[in-house]
Amino acid sequence: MSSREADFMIFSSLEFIYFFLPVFLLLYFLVPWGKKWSTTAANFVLFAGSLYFYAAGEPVYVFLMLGSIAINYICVYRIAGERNLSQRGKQRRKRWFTLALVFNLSLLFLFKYAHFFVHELNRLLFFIGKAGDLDMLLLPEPSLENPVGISFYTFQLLSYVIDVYYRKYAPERNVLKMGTYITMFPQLIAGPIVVWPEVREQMNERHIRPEQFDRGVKTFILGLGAKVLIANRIGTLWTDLIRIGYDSVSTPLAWMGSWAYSFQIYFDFYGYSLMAIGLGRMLGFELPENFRDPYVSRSATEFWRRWHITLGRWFKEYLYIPLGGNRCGKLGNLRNIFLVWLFTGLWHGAAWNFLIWGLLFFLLLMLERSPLGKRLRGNAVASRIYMLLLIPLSWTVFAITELDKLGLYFTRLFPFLPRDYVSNVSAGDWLRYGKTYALSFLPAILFCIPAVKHFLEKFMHGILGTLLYLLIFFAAMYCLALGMDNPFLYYRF
Amino acid sequence: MKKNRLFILIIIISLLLGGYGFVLEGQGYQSSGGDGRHVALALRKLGGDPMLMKMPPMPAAAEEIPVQSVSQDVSTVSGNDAGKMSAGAGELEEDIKEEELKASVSEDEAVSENEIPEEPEEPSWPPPFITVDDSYFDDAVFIGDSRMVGVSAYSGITNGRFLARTSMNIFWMLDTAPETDNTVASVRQGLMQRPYGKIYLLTGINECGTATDYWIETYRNVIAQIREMQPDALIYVHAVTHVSAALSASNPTFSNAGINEKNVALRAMADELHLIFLDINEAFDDENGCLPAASTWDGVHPTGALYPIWKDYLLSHAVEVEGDF
Repeated sequence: MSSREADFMIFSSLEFIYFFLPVFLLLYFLVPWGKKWSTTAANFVLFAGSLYFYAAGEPVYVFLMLGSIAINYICVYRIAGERNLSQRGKQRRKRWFTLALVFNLSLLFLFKYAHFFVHELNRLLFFIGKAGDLDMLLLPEPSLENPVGISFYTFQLLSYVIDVYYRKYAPERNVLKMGTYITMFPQLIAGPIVVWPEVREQMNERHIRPEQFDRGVKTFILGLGAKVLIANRIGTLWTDLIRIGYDSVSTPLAWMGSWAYSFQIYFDFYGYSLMAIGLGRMLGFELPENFRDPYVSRSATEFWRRWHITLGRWFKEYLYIPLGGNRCGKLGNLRNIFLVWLFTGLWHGAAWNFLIWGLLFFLLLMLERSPLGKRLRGNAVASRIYMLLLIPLSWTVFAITELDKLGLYFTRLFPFLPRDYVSNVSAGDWLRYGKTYALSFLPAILFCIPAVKHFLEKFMHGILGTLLYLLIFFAAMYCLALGMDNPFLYYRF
Repeated sequence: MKKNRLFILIIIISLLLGGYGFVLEGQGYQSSGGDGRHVALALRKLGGDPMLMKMPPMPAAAEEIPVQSVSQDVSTVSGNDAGKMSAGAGELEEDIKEEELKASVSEDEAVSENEIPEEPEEPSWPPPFITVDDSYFDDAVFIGDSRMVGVSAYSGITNGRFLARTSMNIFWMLDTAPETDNTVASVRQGLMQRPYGKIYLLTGINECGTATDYWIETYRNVIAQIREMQPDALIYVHAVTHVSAALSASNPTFSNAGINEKNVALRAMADELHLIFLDINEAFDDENGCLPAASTWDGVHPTGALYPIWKDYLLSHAVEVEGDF
């Protein structure tokens, strides 16, 4: 997460839970439900509330988001409004579609990738200049900050534009409904990436059902627990390793650290998605599922069907299939898959390690298609060992943005690799950290196993269930309260 | 209504907590939080968070409590019980200790006043540093936060005893269960087992969010308690360590300016109470008084490979004190 996201009013903050959410819910439920115009009024409250939510963290870029919505609305309006299906009409249609694509992608490039590309280009120019003894003119590096959530809302807008262009559904004429779909705060800054048909019905007419609201509260609490009580706690092991400096970390500790990071990123993101789905239910929406026990996968292919499902779906629907999918020969198919993973890597961040990370999955998915890969998947033991290694290794590549440090970390994971530094390893460091973190690893491991989750679900009903949910909620609140005057609670010194 | 039992209970409990937090705020408890701070205050009070502070110090009914019962508490409290000790009890104890401390300080002053005119040549506190060898640490105990854990793991000091724990802070230092020594349940227990010649303390970075006055006041109280257990030990206090320029600039809580403010107060206290102030920052700082970026990955801790510097610093900054100090 960038520092901008750290300053944002995240769902697992006292500010959100004890200020924004109660005030918002009060206004939302003051709407007289059951009238013809109730949904419109509720949409208005939701739209205005979401803008407030976003503007509290991004007071300037909120206008960028509004502008982007307006331009996409106009483009989509023109695409759909073109009833003249003559050659000229088709051309006009295509022109508005291209405009929308170029606009959205340029925005994303400008704010998220321009700095990285210009910086790398300058490095190349500098290198050429040095080699050829030329005075190369270096380009000014743009210093725009990356607006929070831009990858998510831009992807929703793109899906909407593309679907309308391919006539999958008619566009929404009501700008309030379309704006609410893009900005609604539960999914605005970290997904799930919702497609229009998933909320269209509720945008037109929705009802508040007490059962759905209750399920929403419970889902939210589970997400809160995953984030605050599991992810935040185990995540400090990774910061412990940064403190020591990778050069002095023993091999067992390095593996433990990679696993801790794997658990942290999962429970953080899974928790956040659950909170989003929970909030959606409280407001009368059913947002799509984003995670389905990814760590029990037996191949990288399966992993990506269970991890960040709405992102994988997006790339499949709006990049892989439009490129021709698997219907353009073996080579074409290979190219399509390559592009999907190139962009999946880049989507996660503008740095080399994300590219390497995306291409690593491209390679693995290709290898898993081979006869050997199929045999591996068939073997219960071998496939699990494979994933037990792959999960922490791939997240290590994801976690370490600086390539020299990433290389250093791999020489710790695999001590037989050549290295050129002096290390000062403390004997038995992994045992000490193992003891300290045993109680954080235990729930993390348990909650990755579907059978454990199903077993515990039996207790989450009735009075006992209510008490357990209350316990999770206030335990999380207590942890957040402790962090208040001790901002380094999660970066303990 | 019944269907939303959970939501309604959350609201009711939150309102009750908020009300209690409101009362606590009226009593002078401070917190830096914004929205939801009343609920947070109540939860921290109920959970016994020792970093919860009361400002300005309220005239409590502490004077009424007989001193014996409190010191009895202190000697019997061990590990976990003490950790759960409510902040209120902590304050009572503090007030009393402070009184004792004042008494002992004024005694010291009286002694030095008598001595100075007789022997004007006597070097004033602090005594000069000398260089010693590893055996100096034989009767030493090292108490502190993650950097002290780092010293124990990476500096190469193998003798001496380490009672250190990550995230240790002055507020619960004595009641912390050391992670570097599992034979005792608390630092206090470790200190009561046998007399030590030297006690090294290292804390401060985890308390950067707290006011300097309150921090020093608590530090004095801890020193008084240590002196009671270890009357003959020489006490070294480490300066609060500087952070990297980048962290200092980006996070006002951890600015080096704020750290320097704490160090000025700490040095004054050390001179007054005859402790040895160790300006460990001399060993690591760059020319701007910051921890160099090359020496740290997180902006706060020297990397493991650099801890031998720490040992060298301690060896070259020892003192020999004869008799009382």
